[in-house]
Amino acid sequence: VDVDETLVADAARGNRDAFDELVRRYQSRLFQLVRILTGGDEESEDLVQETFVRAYRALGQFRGESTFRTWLHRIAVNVVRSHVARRNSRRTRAPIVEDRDDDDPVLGHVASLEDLEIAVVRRRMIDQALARLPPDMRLLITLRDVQGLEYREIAMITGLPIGTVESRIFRGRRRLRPMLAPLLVRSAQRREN
Amino acid sequence: MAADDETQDAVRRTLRKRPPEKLPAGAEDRLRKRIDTEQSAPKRTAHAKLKTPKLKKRAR
Repeated sequence: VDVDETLVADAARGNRDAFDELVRRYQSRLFQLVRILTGGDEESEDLVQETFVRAYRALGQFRGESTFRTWLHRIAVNVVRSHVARRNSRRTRAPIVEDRDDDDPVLGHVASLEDLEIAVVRRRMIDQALARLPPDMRLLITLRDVQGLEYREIAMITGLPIGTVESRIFRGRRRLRPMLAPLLVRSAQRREN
Repeated sequence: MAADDETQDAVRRTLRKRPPEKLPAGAEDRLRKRIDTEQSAPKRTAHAKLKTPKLKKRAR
């Protein structure tokens, strides 16, 4: 029996512990998703909270037509889209990731910053490469390659045909290849050593 | 074709290894408290909507 299914059924009957367990299972994943899609927005925690609050309110309407994971990701994507639209309309904050130009200094020099932790550098390079993709392509690649969702789940979340999802992810990876080159080279070197 | 496959696989593997950042300290507690307020907040039901008094039209 699927653990999520049991927890969702219990939570829908008012079992608060079951809902808290669902939070524990997914909050970290959703935090990564929101951070990437918003370009590390300081309000990421609030957006994750908003996702769970909406899920909590709508739990009684969850019919199991998709998995809970798919359903929750769809809510998160909607929350992020609304947030980014609001942020863009305000135009008082720092430029959002979609507007970053291609000569962002951090990516160009990050490999020489040896005093930074490898994990932080690696994450930053990946996030900045993703930030250079068009938002829709970034969403699809993030859902597939960072979050590990299936193509059919991504199709349900985005409302796109599965063939479109596949082809955009294929093209997105091609575009990312040169931007991630330092990381790809490093992993090859490690294998040689 | 093989180069394409290699690209797809290399990028996928690299992204899959993105190091996750930690949740901010206390995030789980803050979320729990927010859900608590949801639980205690009165829900606006269809019945409650029906009982909402309507404004009377002003007599001419």
